[in-house]
Amino acid sequence: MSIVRRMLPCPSYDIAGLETWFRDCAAKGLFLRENGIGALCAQFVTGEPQTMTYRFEPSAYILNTDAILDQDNLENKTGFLEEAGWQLLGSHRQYLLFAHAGTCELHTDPETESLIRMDLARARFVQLLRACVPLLFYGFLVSSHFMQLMIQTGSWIVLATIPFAVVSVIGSVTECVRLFIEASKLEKGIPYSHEKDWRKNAAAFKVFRIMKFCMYTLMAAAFVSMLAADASDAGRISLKDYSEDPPFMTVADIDPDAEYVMNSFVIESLREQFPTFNTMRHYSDLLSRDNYIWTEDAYLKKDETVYCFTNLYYYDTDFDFVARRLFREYSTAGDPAFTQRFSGYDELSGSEDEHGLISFAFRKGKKVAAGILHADRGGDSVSAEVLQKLIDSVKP
Amino acid sequence: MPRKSMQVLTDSMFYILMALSKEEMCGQDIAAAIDALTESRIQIGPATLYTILSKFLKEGIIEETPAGGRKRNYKLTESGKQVYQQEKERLLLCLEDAKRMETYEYRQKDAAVSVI
Repeated sequence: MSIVRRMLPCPSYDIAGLETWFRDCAAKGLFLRENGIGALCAQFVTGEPQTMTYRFEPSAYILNTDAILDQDNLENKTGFLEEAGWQLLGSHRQYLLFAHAGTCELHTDPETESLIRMDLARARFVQLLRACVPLLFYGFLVSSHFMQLMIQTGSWIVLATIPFAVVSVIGSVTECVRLFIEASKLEKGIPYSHEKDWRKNAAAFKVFRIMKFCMYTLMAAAFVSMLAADASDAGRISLKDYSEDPPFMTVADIDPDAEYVMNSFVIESLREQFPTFNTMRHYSDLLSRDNYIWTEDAYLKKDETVYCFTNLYYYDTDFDFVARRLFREYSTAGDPAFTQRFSGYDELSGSEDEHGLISFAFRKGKKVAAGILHADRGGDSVSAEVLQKLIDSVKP
Repeated sequence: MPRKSMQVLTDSMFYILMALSKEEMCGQDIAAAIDALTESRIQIGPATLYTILSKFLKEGIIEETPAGGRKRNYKLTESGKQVYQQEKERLLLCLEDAKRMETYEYRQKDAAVSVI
């Protein structure tokens, strides 16, 4: 007797399809193993071909209703059915799976069965509503700067999982609707149909499941790598010892001839004038509002060079979070090295001038990454050199 | 108008009460008794049987009595006996009406129609 694995040919909520598939497998000598149903595959043991009947019976643990079934009676019901010759093979979603040699039925009265099926439909509907909560997370990811950031730092895989999430939602809604329709039919005396052609879309469904599994695995790996990179100390700049806040710097300290241009309220105009300029993004997404951060960008031009300075406002917000967000924004301005340089900090201090431009420093313990005024020149790699110049120019 | 619970029993429910009207039984014996009584015309699946017994227990129509080990016997309560009796009388009335229909003579208000 050997164990054979087969991928499920239909969605895991397609109960009739699975029942028919198990029956067909038994007719070929493959018998579902106890607790052999997984998310993707089922395990079978080989044997002599035989006529078997497989039936999914709604499980009290999932239903948890007081109408027909309750948790205390689950063991009783299982024992009751086993005495009638049905073998319990395990559980699957909201069901217990039973098998019986030959052809027979668990339920013979549609109206009675409708009581259980309607409870199942209602319980599944409540589960579906609860499952909508993670969908809000997906919606946030799509709309927020966080998603843009992940795309630009290489975590595009999150976007790629969205179609699969949508299909899963549609499948869950379809299942819920189908349960209600089936329960309604049973109430009218129409027997539940356990026969379904599982071969119809089996090939396409298997391809979809494999792709979905791969996408979610890649997404998990991408998240883990992001967290690892974020926690890494690699690339941290050398720190200087300061016992006080770093010295305040103004634009004039960097370039006395720089011309103050304008603030971000006319950012669109600036984009037209400087199409290659990589303007800093506004913290206008939901996450930023919750943490009371927003920025205003100002632009200074000298000759053909335009510098962007970020005016940062934050209230009641953890510095680490503020600076981390800021770093991520800056890193998307075409200078990935910037993030590496300033990872591992744990405090932010700043000061503000009459234009609302600030200088800020990142502190770790008694050591401070020198106070700098961030400048971004149009999104190319020069910004790293500019930053280093600013850092070196700060006097202890 | 929605039907109240237990207002009209299904065939399966009625036959279960019928089996228990004689004596208390366990679930398997109920199924066997119905199968024998109806000469396999009415067969009750185990899940149907269990569901109905659970519902009857919840409604107070039957009650459990210990039978040793995991087995449980069921018997009708006074309320259950009433329900069974009412349903039996209702069905008997239906049967009498059906018999009477074959020879009954009646008249409508607007048009005289006799059926003999």
